[in-house]
Amino acid sequence: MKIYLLRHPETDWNGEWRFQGRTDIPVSKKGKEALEKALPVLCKLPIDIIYTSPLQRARIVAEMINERTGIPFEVDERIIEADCGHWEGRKVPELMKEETEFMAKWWANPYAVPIPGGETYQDVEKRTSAFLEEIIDKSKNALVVSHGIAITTMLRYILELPHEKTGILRIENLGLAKIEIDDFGKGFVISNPAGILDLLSFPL
Amino acid sequence: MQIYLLRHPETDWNRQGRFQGQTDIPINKTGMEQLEQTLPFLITLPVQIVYTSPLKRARVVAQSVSQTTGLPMLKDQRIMEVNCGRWEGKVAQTLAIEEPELFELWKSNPYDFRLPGGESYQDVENRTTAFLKDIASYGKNALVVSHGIAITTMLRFILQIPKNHVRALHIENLGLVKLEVDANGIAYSIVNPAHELQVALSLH
Repeated sequence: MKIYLLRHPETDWNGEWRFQGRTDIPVSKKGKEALEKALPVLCKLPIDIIYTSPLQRARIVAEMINERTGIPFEVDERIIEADCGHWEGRKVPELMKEETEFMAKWWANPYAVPIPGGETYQDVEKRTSAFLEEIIDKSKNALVVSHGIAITTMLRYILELPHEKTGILRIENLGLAKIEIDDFGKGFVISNPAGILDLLSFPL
Repeated sequence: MQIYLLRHPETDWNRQGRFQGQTDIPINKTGMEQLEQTLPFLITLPVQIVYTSPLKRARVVAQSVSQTTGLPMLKDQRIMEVNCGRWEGKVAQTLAIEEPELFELWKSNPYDFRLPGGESYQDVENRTTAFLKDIASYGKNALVVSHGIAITTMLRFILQIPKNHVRALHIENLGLVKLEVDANGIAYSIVNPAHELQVALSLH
């Protein structure tokens, strides 16, 4: 069985390097263009169901695939982005200047140190991993449209990365991670992008 | 700077599930087709140099890229596949029956267990990471064509995956990994395959 994890397309706040969290920012013009290009690939993924975060930057992807393919989608609160509390809307470079020490402490282990007024990565992983286990039990191939930190915690859970090492994993907007579940457990599979593209029956 | 790690195309021994190691098996018909399909995309990667394992299943990719683009190509022994000693050519299921104790030792922690007449994953990681540190210090964007276990050890080192948990990571034939190297070290970036596709298509 396969589960694909997809990060939402770019928003203006991504472009400006702002903490976004639960603030419901729509995808930008650039994000929409990237989504249009990715849609033919996404619509051919071998999936039975789509799960999406309730935030519009993720939901738009699920809705567009559903419109084109009829594949059903469900909104799930547990794959919403980390609550970034007082930092939502703040620019990362500014915070690094103004709160250098705290930012360093947080980034050294975001699993243990909560964002002021928000969640720790541990809080996020608790809900995202519960979600993952539940959809694995259903054993339907699925696409999961979610967020940078939320997906990072799912991959950390699968790979059992040390908590303080999670910063090493980056997920681009519309970055796609494939998880395969078999008798040996859950594995993160690194794919041939041209193989995924092959689903388009190259050449177009 | 960017480093792309690429696993070689399929061979008959891959398909048959045989320990391949340093046995110099060529790619098969499927592998050749995979390579032809992926090549237009590989030649668009923003790299200045191609490194390859000396084994022909990897070298065929590096040579194709180098011939098409004019990029220099260097062979490096350190990114050869794990030496599987007298297990090379054997199928895993057979070994599980013929040498259950050794096979179990290897399965439970391949980092501590030296394959009979061959290497442990730790031996492999020592040489692959020495290679990685060298090319990161040169600062040139590079494509590295290597093997399943060799690439797994590089990623394990970067992500600090627990040594008895490396099996959570799978790399398909022609699976591609993008590493970003900056002042903070080496990070693993999960990419948007459709974006990569767009780059490839714009050439046609």
